[in-house]
Amino acid sequence: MIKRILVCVKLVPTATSVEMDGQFRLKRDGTSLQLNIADVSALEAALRLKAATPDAEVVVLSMGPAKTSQTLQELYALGADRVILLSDPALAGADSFATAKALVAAIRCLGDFDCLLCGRRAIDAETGQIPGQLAAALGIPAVTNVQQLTARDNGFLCQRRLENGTAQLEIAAPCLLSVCEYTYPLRLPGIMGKRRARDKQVEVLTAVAVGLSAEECGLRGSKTKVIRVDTRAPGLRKCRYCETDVLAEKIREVQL
Amino acid sequence: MKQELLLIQGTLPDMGLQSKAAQLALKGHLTLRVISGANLEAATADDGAIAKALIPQAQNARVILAPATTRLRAILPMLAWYLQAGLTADCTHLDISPDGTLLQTRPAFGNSLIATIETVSGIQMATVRPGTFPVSEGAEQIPVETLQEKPAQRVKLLEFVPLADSVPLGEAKIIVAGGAGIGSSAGFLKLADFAGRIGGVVGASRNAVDAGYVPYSAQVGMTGITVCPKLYIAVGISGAVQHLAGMSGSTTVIAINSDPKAPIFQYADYGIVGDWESIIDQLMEELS
Amino acid sequence: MVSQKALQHAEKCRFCWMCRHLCPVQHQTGKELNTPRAKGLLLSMVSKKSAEFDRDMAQAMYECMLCDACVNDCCTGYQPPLFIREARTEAVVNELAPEAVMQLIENVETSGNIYGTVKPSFAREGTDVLVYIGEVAACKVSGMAKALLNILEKTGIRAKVLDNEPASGAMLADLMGYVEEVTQQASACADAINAAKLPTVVVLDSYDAEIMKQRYAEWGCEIKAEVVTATAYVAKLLEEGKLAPKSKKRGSGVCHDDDRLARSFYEFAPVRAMAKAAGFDLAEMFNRERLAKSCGSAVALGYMPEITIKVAGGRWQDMIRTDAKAMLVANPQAYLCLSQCVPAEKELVDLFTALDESL
Repeated sequence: MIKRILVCVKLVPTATSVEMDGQFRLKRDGTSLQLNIADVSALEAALRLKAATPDAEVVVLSMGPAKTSQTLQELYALGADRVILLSDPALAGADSFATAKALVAAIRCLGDFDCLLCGRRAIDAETGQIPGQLAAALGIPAVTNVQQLTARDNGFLCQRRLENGTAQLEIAAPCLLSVCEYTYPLRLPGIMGKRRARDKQVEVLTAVAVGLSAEECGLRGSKTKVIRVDTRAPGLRKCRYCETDVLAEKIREVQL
Repeated sequence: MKQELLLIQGTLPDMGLQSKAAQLALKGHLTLRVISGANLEAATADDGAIAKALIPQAQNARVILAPATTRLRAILPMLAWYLQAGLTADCTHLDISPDGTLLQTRPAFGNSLIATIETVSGIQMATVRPGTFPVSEGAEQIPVETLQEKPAQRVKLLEFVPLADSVPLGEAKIIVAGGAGIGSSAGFLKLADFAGRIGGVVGASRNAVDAGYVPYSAQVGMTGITVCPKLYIAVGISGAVQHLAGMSGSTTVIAINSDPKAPIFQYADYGIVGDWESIIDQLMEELS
Repeated sequence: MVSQKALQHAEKCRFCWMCRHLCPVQHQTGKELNTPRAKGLLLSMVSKKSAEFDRDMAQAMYECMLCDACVNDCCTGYQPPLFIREARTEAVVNELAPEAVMQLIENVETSGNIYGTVKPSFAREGTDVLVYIGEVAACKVSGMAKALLNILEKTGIRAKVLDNEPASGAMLADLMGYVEEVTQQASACADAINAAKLPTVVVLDSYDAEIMKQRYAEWGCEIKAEVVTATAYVAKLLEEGKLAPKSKKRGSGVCHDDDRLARSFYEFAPVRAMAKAAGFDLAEMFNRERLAKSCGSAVALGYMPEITIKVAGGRWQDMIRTDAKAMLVANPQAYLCLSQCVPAEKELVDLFTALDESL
């Protein structure tokens, strides 16, 4: 029986705020954050598992700035039983290794679980490495890129999307599953859910509270460092406006 | 002193990356070793088990590279954790200094910023977008070792269903991609018809997928897949950064859009402003 | 209190006041509080903590037809119904909604419809199309429902109507916003429609059609059949010559474009084709098509009859300015609202019935 489900989510800049300015650079609106699109599917999957099992519990864990707690609070209305935010200025600038380390430290404080769900990658940094690192650190099996999942006995049946097809897999709990974007649309909060959520607070954990030393956190704890950032107009080309005959010619060329 | 450059290939080996690895090994004074996990990949569904089997192979590695296929993108982070090594995802450019320091370049924030990254740990690991590097002669002659271990299975493969499409989007020579401007699922059937006639495959922007015109598997871009075909025809796609991130590596880009101000034109080699349906009709006529 | 997105919309207003001239409610009440911009301002004040969301404010959020006229005209892309719906959710959650609203919600909970009665059944077996009647037509404007079924029968189309037709969620969405309870109704409705396994579902009430067509998919409860408005479906039958109305002169009439056809479907021609086929000479009101003024909704008539009847009266005033004799309507909710205050010497015509009579 799947009784305790942990979901890792990240808040990322909203897609609409990622616009280009006149020099084809990104305008980043720091204030507008939303749940990462793949994490939405993971969260909904967790809520569905909870709905299917009496007394099941969904615990949501996020790492990010303190201001994200307001958005995370809304997850109570959707049916999350606990919402935990790991937030500490010391964690800023963490690469995927240091992020995984911090999340694992927090997960260890939360007790046993049957299943850890997360999005397959975040659309801001887009590394997709956290799921694998978490699974290795926690010593549990994992399936990434899950497109469909159902609980079965003491584990899951899941469908994994690969480049050349889909694999039907069976995995035993406890395990980690990383879910693809658009797998499940997130439910809307209900009136009853919102009433229940009114006096619930996001639990905020600091780095020290989960037992992390300063050396393990953020930039200092990272295994990679950015040494240079260049802006560039990605793939800018010189467009030749033409008629369909030129295009037809071009298509024929490639066909050869 | 660790002195190997270890390239891990999967079921879909990236020969361009193999060529690049050979160059990097030379420049960085490292010995190239290529290991294919393909054998294991086919035998097991447990990525964690493959990662564990790779640990002893990595003992002398200074650099570990792998193509960023779905499975290797799951396996490499696990291996990186076991080796307590830094890992950079989805690099689009690699360089190495004579002392073996790997310079890893990857787009950040939807391709408009380019970050160059160094690894602090002793072992430097990176995955590379498939198809990023050209194949040079001799790449096939590099000896490939095969992982043979039979690891424990915690994940069981019940069935594998190959993609119905004859050519997966990522390997297509020609991609005809539609955006929200296509307006309907019926519009996409028309695009598919056109694509079929010119030997191409249909792709889509996120807006078109969100609108429900096409399944998610067709999505090109940051939250979809990255493609680099010889010819990319963007139809009714405005050219959001997220989309450009997935197709800017195409050899030739053609844009068809009714809005002359659509950003896609700035990322295209050829452009036609106008109603997509009549342009496609005309193209079909000219090509028939 | 409301979502970030809704708040952005509430604060987008530049106080140009154009929506003042468009809002059918403020037109009749003259209350500044009834303008879309005022509602945005209230929510903005709440978010800045300079005002508290109280019963009066909640009341203001319900004095709106959610007709989308303000959205249609605003050049900043301002969408008041977005934050008004969310504010209604908050009103219900915090038990601040008007009593009449809570009564309707209770009716939905106990009987499945806002009227709190057993919904009359139009159930029948058929193998060609499924017809979705909706609660307003079934309970209050049954003539329109019967006429639609008659028209189909005369064409030889075997229409199925579900027994115990579930609510679409459109009513509840107006009462409490887009919340889980609404998606649960939607999901049950989609399941029932999908179980019928017919290729087309003809929806009589455009309010139902709107939520089915434009919301169900994003809630993960897509209807597999093609959803068609009854007006578009009947107009197509006329166009294909499958209906042969007798030529009969019925005088001059104006078509009322209901809120959803006008601004969710941009569907204008079918209603007029039906009117012509029924024998009317068409005149047009000044506020028509995308600019059509709302005549109220059934749910608003339920919780604030006084204001809604005034709004319906406002639409009659538009009609009186033309020379037409009849107001032509093809939506049960519009018919119900307009029927509350038919001016002397004017006629309210249900186009389905008119067309049925001329066959």
